[in-house]
Amino acid sequence: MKRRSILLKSAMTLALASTMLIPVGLMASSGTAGASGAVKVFMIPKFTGIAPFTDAAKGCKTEGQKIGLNCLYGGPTTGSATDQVNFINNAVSAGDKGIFISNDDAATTNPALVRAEHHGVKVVTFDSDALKTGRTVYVEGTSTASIALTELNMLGSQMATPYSGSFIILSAQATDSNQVQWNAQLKKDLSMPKYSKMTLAAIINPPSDSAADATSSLQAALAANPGISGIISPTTVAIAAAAQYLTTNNLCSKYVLTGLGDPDQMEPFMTTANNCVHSFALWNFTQEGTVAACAMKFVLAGTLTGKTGQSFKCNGVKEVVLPGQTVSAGAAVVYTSANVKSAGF
Amino acid sequence: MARFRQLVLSWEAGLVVLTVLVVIFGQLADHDLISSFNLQTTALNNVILLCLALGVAPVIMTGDIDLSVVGTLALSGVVMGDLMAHGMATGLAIAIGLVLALVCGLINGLLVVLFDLPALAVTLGTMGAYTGISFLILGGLAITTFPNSVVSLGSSNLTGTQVPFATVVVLAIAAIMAYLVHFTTWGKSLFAVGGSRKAALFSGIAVNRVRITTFIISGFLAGFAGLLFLGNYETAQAGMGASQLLPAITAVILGGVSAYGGTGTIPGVVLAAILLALLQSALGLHGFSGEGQTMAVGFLLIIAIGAQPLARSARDWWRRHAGVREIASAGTGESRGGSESSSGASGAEVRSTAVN
Amino acid sequence: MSAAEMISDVATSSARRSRVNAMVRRSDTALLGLIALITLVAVATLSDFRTLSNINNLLNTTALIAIVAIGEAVVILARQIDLSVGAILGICAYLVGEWSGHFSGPFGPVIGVLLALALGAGFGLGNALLVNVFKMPAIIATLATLSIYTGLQIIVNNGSQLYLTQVPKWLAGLRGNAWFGIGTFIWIAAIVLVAVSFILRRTRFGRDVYALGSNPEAAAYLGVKIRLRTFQIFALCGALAGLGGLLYTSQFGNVDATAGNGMNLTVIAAAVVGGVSLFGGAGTALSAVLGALLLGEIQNVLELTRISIFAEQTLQGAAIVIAVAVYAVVSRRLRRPVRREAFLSEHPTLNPAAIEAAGGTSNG
Repeated sequence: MKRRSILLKSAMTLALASTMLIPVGLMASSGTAGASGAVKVFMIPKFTGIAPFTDAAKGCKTEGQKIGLNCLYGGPTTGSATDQVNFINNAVSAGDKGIFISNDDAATTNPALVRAEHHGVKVVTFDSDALKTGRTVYVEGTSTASIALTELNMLGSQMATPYSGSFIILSAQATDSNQVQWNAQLKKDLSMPKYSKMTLAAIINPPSDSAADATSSLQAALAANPGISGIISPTTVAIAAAAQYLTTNNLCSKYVLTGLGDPDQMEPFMTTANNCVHSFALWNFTQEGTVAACAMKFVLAGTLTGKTGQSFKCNGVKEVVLPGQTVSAGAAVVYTSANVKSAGF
Repeated sequence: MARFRQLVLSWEAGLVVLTVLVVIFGQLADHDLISSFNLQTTALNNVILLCLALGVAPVIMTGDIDLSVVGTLALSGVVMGDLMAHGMATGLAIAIGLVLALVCGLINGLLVVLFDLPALAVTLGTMGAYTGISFLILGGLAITTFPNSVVSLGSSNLTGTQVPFATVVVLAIAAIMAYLVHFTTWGKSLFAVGGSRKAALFSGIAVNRVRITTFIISGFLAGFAGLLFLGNYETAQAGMGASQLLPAITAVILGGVSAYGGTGTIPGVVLAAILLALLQSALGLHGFSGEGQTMAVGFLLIIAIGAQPLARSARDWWRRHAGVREIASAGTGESRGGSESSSGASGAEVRSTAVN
Repeated sequence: MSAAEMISDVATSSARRSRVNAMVRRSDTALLGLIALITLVAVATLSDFRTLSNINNLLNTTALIAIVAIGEAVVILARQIDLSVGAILGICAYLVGEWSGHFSGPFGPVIGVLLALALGAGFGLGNALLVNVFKMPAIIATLATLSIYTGLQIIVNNGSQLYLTQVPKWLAGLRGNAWFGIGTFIWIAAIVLVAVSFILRRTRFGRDVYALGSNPEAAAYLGVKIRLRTFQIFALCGALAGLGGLLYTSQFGNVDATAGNGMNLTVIAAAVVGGVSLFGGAGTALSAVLGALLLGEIQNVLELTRISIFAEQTLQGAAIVIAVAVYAVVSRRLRRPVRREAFLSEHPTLNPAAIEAAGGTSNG
């Protein structure tokens, strides 16, 4: 009767589940691809859909082709660290030999990265670091120190009384490791004599890395901090949203806006008609992807272990490992109306 | 023999066939689907999905819906994480979290049943409210250290095997749910209420109580899913698990539960969850991006709902053409609730005036 | 049920509906009062509230939401729902923003608007297809399309985004422009409000929408072309979402793959708070606008009083629950007196026997 049929179905289900769970280990993965010997590696951004990460992927792919790496790319659609975990696991399952990742949250991805390393997969972080235990080397776009100083210099030089006044930092998600790192460095730098007259009023972390959230967070922040005269936004999404907001509300002359931006996004705000933003900085994300690919090659070969002072050659340029297993991919470029149009990564 | 044929023709058997097909093609395409690592991580990552689906299934069987499960997951997960981070004893924190989840479900139940509000609206609202409260508690931060016991529950294997502990736990929950839904009076009343609320009322079933209990169970299992999430990802973050709503509902519908209530089986839901898990894994291994996988789940949901009436009419056709002997024994076999094709129209009529 | 009984039933329920509509109209007034009250208090106590910049922002953001909420309201009126509006808005924001870049000249805006409406309607028709042909309940159908359209949105953005430089000047400037001192967004919202209100009150389509919402079976018997209306309803909702997308491009300049996320809850909350009943059949376009305004204002006040930038979702979720509960309780109290017998004794000509005696019912 009906009970029998349910029991039969349950039995069927259990049988299927057991077959799946007790691994058919005989068919274990064979892993690596291609007779050409191109080693499969996988790049995971914070989230897909913005130019910096797409550029990094391009850099990895192009360089990878030269040095025998097959650079695949994929990631979550929102900045969710737990979704990144799934991508890490998938890469390991698929037999990829190396993983690049820009972390949404270093602590969350750490267990999965450690597990990956136990399986012999090498991890190189880029743009946003993981915990030390989860990766061999961290490739940063440019040094944290230079980012913080550049931001402070750009802001300070444009203030009504140079290097004097209060400002806010319009950042990204609270867990983004690179944002946390840069902002912490900036706070430390404020104690330097050159910036002693500048005060940081608040660090704003919008709920997500989207234009709408950045805009409403900025609106609330401006109301909550009436005395500020500057905004530093170290994230391309938020600085563009902020520029648009200031323009629409005719606040460009009231606040100095600077930070890290995408030249294509910032160009409309650096014209004669609209000069809301006078300068911002960025580095070459394609270059970052290239250096990451090079680093991975040497990490896979075993010659690059992250010890301070080690070096490797990438496209003829010598890269040196700095303290903290960090490799700096290049220098930040400051963009003004003079050079913003020519920026092309 | 007839029972065997019925089993083979059943919706659940169809799911098994699909699963086997996915495994075969996936393995051929990528060689890594059935590796122990992949099966392990797939099993682990999808316990949350199955746990949510097991909670939502009875709600849909009674003709309601519960969208707020991911909100309850987030809220109880954040509360548990926050309490543990502040040094509270693990057991107590978990207990509080689960009780909170129960309360979330109870609120849903009371609003929908006692106030007679549309379940869609209420649970849409409470989804936002519960998720929002988790944001108010934790802001944008994440808690990432948890006691060993929690982590073991969520990510370690049964001692000496490759089988994840959490998977076994959730399968046990599935067995309990299957018993409750298919072998108790309460379970039978689920189908009666889903088939026709008025008729159920007239037969003396405590419709209100039945409906409220489904919401409570749904809330509780969502809270438990939150606990598993904490152990699996070792992260508590506001809004966690939000991406699991669509897969959970898809698993329920794909499992054969009719969106209008009154039919479905728990084994079906488990099979559907397994199918979904393997399908997503196969797609991921084959290079489908995150949005590609989500779109695939969306399409699967559409196909699943579209296939239900087709399956029903196929089965009716089979019955009509298979002779009296078959029909006789088929009639006493699994009943598909009240929605045989002939009574479909009046069933719908009665149901809608009841809702009015 | 005989046709005569059906007709008198419809009359009864339409009397109920006009009572409910009377209540809704009263709720419109109540909402206006509530909005006015909050505005007064905010203006008096929050100096940041009464700045021109803040009011301007508030009204413009609300206008965008109101337009999409009006579309959602039409769908809810017919006892359906559309969860995919945010994704439709996002895709249209990108595609229309990009394609309009190719149309300069005086007709650019016209083409842009038409494009947005058409594209949005197309996606709406996809929803209607699932509801009509696949017979899926709208909630599940639009849950599925939400994921599909969101995936499409990401694919269309193709790892990049729409840059302000690609957007035609008329569109980029739309947000900042003002006609006779009132922002363009507000004008557009007003036009949409008037147009949709007219459609709902004065056309066959509008009457059918209300009929479908109050009593689908009766509507079918009365000859309402359900399938056609369903297509039209979802198309209208999609079209308005598309128009919202166009405005979104103007508001934010850059359009990336996250455009429109979370708007579903906002828009449904606006409609529901405004008095559009999820049972169907009650509410107006104005209800949606007032709901959007009230929620937007509360949101603004919360931001300015620094309660939390994370309060938005909680506010919208709680608002939906509270609004649905309040309206249901109130409308039930109003529905009770109109019992069938009482009504029929007041309107003897609507008595089934009387109708049959008048000889007017073959299988019409």
